[in-house]
Amino acid sequence: MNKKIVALTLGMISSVGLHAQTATDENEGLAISQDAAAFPTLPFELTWWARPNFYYFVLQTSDLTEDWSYHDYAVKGSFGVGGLGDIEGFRFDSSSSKLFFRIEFTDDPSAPVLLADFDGDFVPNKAELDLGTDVFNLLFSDPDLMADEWELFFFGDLDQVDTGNDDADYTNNLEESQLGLDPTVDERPSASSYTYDLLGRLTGASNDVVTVSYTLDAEGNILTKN
Amino acid sequence: MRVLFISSFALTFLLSVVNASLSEADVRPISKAEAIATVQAQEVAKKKAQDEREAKLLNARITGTAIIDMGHKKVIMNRVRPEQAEVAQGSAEANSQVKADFDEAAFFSVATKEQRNFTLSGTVRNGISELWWKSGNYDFKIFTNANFLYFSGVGENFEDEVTIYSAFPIIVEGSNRPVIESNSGTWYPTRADFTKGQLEYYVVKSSGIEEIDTEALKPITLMLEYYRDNLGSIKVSYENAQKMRIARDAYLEANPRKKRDVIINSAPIDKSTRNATSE
Repeated sequence: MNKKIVALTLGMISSVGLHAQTATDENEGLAISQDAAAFPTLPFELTWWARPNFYYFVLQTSDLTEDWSYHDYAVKGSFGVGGLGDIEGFRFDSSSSKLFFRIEFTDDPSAPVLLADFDGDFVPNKAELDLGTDVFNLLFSDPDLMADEWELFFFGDLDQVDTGNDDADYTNNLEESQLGLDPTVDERPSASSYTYDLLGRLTGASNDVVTVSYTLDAEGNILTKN
Repeated sequence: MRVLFISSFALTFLLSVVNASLSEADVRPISKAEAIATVQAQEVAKKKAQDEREAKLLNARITGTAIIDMGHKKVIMNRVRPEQAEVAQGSAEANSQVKADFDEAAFFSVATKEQRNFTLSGTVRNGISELWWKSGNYDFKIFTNANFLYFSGVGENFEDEVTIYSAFPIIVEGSNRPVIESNSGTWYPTRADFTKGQLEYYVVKSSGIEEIDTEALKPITLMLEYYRDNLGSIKVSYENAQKMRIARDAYLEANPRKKRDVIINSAPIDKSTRNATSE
C-alpha cells in the first residue's frame, strides 16, 4: 500500500540531543543534534531513518508564522544494511537563531511532490530521485547545453549532442530539452491543431505542450521555424 | 498561614493569608540613562555578531546556491563542501572532568521530585491580580493583592519537598476600571477586601467543585511565598526590565533593525564518517 505522510514532525535548532534512529522509530526518528566541536562550520545535523523506496523531502521555516519552503535536499530511501533502510540527512548552520524542519515522505508515485519538477528540467522529481540526480538544481558537466538530468532520463547517458535528433522529427535534442519534448519520440503526429495561410499552406502546428510556426517564401518553402 | 471560607453572592471564596515579611531588594535598580546605554551596547553587539555570522556563512566553501524569495526576505540555501569531523583536542579530558564534577547524589536527589508545569494567566488592575489556571478538570480563579506583573516574563521554578513546579505566568496589565461590576454579577475585590500589610488571596470556587483541593493551590502558594520572600528583588527586576523595554523601543524606533535574509549552509551527511564518529 502506498503511503503519503505530510507534516510529520518538527525539529528546531535550539533543541539539541543525541538520537540514534532505528527502523522502528515513530516519525522516522527525525531529530536534530549538535556537535560544534567535531563540525565547527556545520554544527547541526538533521537526520531521520529513511525506509527503502520511500521518497523524502525536507521543508523548513525560520518562523512558524511563515510559509514552509522546501530545503534543497531530497532523497530516496535505500535498502541499507539488512534491507530495513538507512539514516539520511544533512549537516547545516544558519544565520537564523530559529529554524524549524519537517519531512514529507511518500511511496505513492502519483503524489504531487513526486510528479512536480522543482528544477524545471522537464524530468519529474521521482524520476530524478530514482536516477540519483539533483531535484533542485541543473547540472551541466559536458560541453552541450542540455542538463545532465534530462540526458540521463531520456537517454541513460551523457553522450548526446545538441544537434542530435534520434527521433528524426523537426526538433533537435537541444530544442526538445528546452521545449519539454521527448527526444526519443517524434511528436509530429501528436500535433492537435494546424494553421494554414490563404493558399492552404501549413504555417503552424501545436499541441498542449508546444507551438511551432513557420515562415514561407513565395513558393511555399519553409524559411524559418519558431 | 490561615484559611478562611467566605460566602458571598452565589460564589464561595477561600481566603488565604501568606504572612508578609517582605524582603529587601538585592537587585540594584538601574537608571534611565543606564538602561539606554545598556540597550545601545546590546544592540550594537547583536548587530556586529549577526554581521560576523553572516560573513562566516557566506565565506564557506560554497558549491551551489538556491534562493527562495519570500517577498519580505530571501532564504539563501548554500551547499557547502562536506566537513570532515575534527577530533576535538582535550574533549576526553573535558568529559572526564565533567564526570568528576558531576554530583550524582545531588542529581538523583533532584530527579526524585516530580516535575510539573504550571501555566497561569492573569490580569492586574489597581494592584490586585486576577489569576486563573486549570487543575485537573477544574478551572481555578483567585484574586490576590500580590502584584503578579512582577512575575510577567519570568520562568521560575518553585518547589516543595516533593514537587518542582515550572511556572509560566502570562500576565497583562488591565485598565484601572471600577472593580465592582454589579451588572454582570462578577465580583471583584477592592483593596479594602485585603488586610493591609498582609499577602492574601481569594479563591473563587467554581460551581463544579465541592471541596477545594489544597493540592491544586500548592503552586500558587509557592509563588506567593516566593513573592513574599523576594518582593524587593523581583520588583526591582520588573522595574529594570520596564526601563530596558522603553529604552529598547526608543532605540529601535530611531535605529530600526535591517531585514535580514536567512542563510542556510548545508551538506549531506557522510554516513561513513558519521558511523566512525558516533561510535
